[in-house]
Amino acid sequence: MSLPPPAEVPPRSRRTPGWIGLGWVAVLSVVAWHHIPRAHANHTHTGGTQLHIATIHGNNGTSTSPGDQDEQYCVQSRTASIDGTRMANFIEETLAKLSTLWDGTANWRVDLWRASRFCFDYDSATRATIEYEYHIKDDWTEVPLCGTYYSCVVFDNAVYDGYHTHYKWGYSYLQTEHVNGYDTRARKFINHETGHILGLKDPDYYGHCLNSVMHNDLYSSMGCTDPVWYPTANDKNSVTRIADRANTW
Amino acid sequence: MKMFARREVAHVVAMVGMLFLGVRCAGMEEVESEHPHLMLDNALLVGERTGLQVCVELAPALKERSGELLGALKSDLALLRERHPLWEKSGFGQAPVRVQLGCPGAAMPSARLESKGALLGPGLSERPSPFRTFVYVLDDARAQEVLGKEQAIRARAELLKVEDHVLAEVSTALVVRASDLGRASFQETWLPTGVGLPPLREPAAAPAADFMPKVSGGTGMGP
Repeated sequence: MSLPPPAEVPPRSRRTPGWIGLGWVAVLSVVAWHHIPRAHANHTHTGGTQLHIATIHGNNGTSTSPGDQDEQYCVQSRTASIDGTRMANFIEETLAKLSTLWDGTANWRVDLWRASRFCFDYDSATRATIEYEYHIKDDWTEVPLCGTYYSCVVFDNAVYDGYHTHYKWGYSYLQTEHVNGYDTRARKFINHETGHILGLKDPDYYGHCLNSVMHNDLYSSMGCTDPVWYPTANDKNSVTRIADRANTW
Repeated sequence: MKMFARREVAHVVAMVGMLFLGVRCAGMEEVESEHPHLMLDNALLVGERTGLQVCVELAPALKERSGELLGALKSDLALLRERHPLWEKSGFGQAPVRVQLGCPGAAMPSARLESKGALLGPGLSERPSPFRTFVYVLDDARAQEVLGKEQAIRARAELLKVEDHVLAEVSTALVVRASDLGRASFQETWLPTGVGLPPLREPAAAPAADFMPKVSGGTGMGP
C-alpha cells in the first residue's frame, strides 16, 4: 500500500504584506514632516530676521516736510549708462507717485521723501541724515554678495532702542541691467529691495507663495508664479506689524 | 517556522534606517542654518556672543602707550556701563566687558574715510568674531589723514549674510584719536554709537538734506 502523495504545499506568497506599505507611508510622513519648513502661523513675511530701518516706528513729519522719523532717500547713478535724474524720477514715481506704493504704509510711518540732490552731492554730515540710498552701477563686485548678479541691500549703523536693534542706514545697490528698462521689472527690483529695507524677507522655502512683491521671480520663482511688482496688502500688513513692534522674533 | 520572511525584515530595517537618518539630517540642517545667526533682540547682534567684547588696534606710533590707552578705553567703557540706561537690557551686562589688543584682519586706516558707508575690518564674515566693536586708535598725524575735521568715524567692520542678497552690519568699527579717549564727547557720543547704543548726548544736529516736494499717490498710474 502506498501512501498517498503528500499534499502539495502551496508556494509561499510573493505578495508584500499590507503592513509594510503602511509602515513606509508612516516613515516617509514623519521624515517629510521634519524636512518641510514650518510656515509662520500668519503666513506673512514678519517671522525670522525682520531687520529694518530705524525710522519706521514713528512719524513726526508734516504733509509738506519730513521729520526725523520719516525716511529720506537719495539716488546715485554710478554708471554713465544711467542718467541720474531720470533714474531718480523713476524711483520716486515707483515709491511715491503710483496708486499702489510703499509711501504711506503703516499709517504714514513709512513716509518717503526724495532728497533734491544726488547722494554724493551732500557733505558727509548732511548725507548722514539721509536714511536710505539707492545706488546704480553696472556691477557691484566691491559689495559682498551683490557681485555681478544680484541687486542687494546692506544695513548699516545698528542701534538698540530698548526693544530691539534696527539700523539707521540702508543701501540698495541696484544692477544697471535690472533697472535700465524703466519698466515693471525695474519697478519690482526697486519695490523688492525697498521691502527688505522695511523689514520683509524673501520667501522662506520653495513653494512659500503669498501675494507679495517679495516673491523672488527676479532670480528664481521658488515655485511661485505671482507676477506682482508692487507692494501688496500682505506686504503692507507685514510692514505695519514690524512698525507696530507686533512682530515676533 | 519563520515568523517573518527575510524580505519583510529587510523592509523593517530600511524603515528604521530611513527614520533615523531622515530625522537626524533634518536636525543637522537646522543647526547649520542657525549658526551663526543675527540676533536683533539685543545689541550683541550675533546669537553666539555672550557679552560685550571690544578689540583695539593702535597706530604704530602708539604701540609704546598700549597699556595706558587700553586702560583709558576700559575706564570709558566702565563709565558707559554705569551711566547708560539701556546697558543691562542691551545684553552687555550678561558678562564682564572684555577689551583685547588686536583685531581680526588687523586693518589700520591710512587714507581718508567717508563718515557714511565706510568698511574697515574683515567685511563679509560667515562666522563673525566675538567682538561687537573694533576700535582703531590713531595718533594725531594719522588722524589728520584719516579723519580730517571729523572727531571720530564709525564704519562697518563685519557684515553677516542674512538673505541671499541682504547684508547686515554685526560689528562696528570706531576710529578715534588717542587724545579723545577719556573725553566727554567720546564717552557720551562716540563710544555708545560704536557699541550700537543711543548716544547719551546727541551730537550737534547736522543740516538736513533739502528734499523734493511730495505729491503722493496722485498720478493715477496704477499697477
